[in-house]
Amino acid sequence: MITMMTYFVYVCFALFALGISGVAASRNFIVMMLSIEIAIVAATLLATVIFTAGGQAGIMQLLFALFTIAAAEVMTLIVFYRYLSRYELSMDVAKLSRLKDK
Amino acid sequence: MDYVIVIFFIASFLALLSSVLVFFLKDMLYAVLALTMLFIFNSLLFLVLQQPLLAVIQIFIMVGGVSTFLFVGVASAELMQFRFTKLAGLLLLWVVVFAAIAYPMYSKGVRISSTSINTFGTQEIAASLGQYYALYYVMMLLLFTVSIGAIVALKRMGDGR
Repeated sequence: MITMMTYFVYVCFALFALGISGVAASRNFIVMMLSIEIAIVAATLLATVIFTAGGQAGIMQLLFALFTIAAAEVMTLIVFYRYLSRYELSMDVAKLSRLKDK
Repeated sequence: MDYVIVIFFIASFLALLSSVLVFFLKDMLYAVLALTMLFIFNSLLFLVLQQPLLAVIQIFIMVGGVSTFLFVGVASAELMQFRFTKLAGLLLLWVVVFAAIAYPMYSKGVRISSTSINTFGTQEIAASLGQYYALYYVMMLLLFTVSIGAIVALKRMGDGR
């Protein structure tokens, strides 16, 4: 019997797959970072679903750690974006991989 | 029971649609708006899971913090080209839909099942917080270091002109 939690897990997997596919398929640096945000959101939802089904409350530390990582990632994204836009560099990660050419 | 299931399917569909829109929207401001919509509907999914505290935390941290960072730091460079379009009206419509869905859940107290308990109540959280003081200080140090480092890096960029 398919319960409500099963649909929740499906939604979490779909969100996580969308995030990872965005990281893998996109060449835009900003879109990749936003995709990581989507994957983090999916991870928090999945952790909550599983631990709610189990009836435990010990994942608040994990959730706070995930939220912290998401916020820190956005701050680094801002710095990278300002750097790239200031020196008029391309957002294409394929071009960014050449480190020595400025 | 059926009401919650309908809410779950609407919220999950709109969350998936928002996350797809992040990749396909050309303007960065619209992509950040779609990501904010994803956060909002994810908090609605937390409400369906009978975890209102997590929904509030999600809205506070992700919508209030992360989306504001993104708007101010990244998308504000694009704000000069921003005009009110049909897409912005669609996003406004989503907020209205979210409010219309979330209000009866608070007022009527709909439950998924009779055995559902709120595992993130105040006492449980207080009991679980007490064991991990150091972890929260490490998180605080991480955020503080990253924010100070971001300010220093931005200032060095400004000096290099």
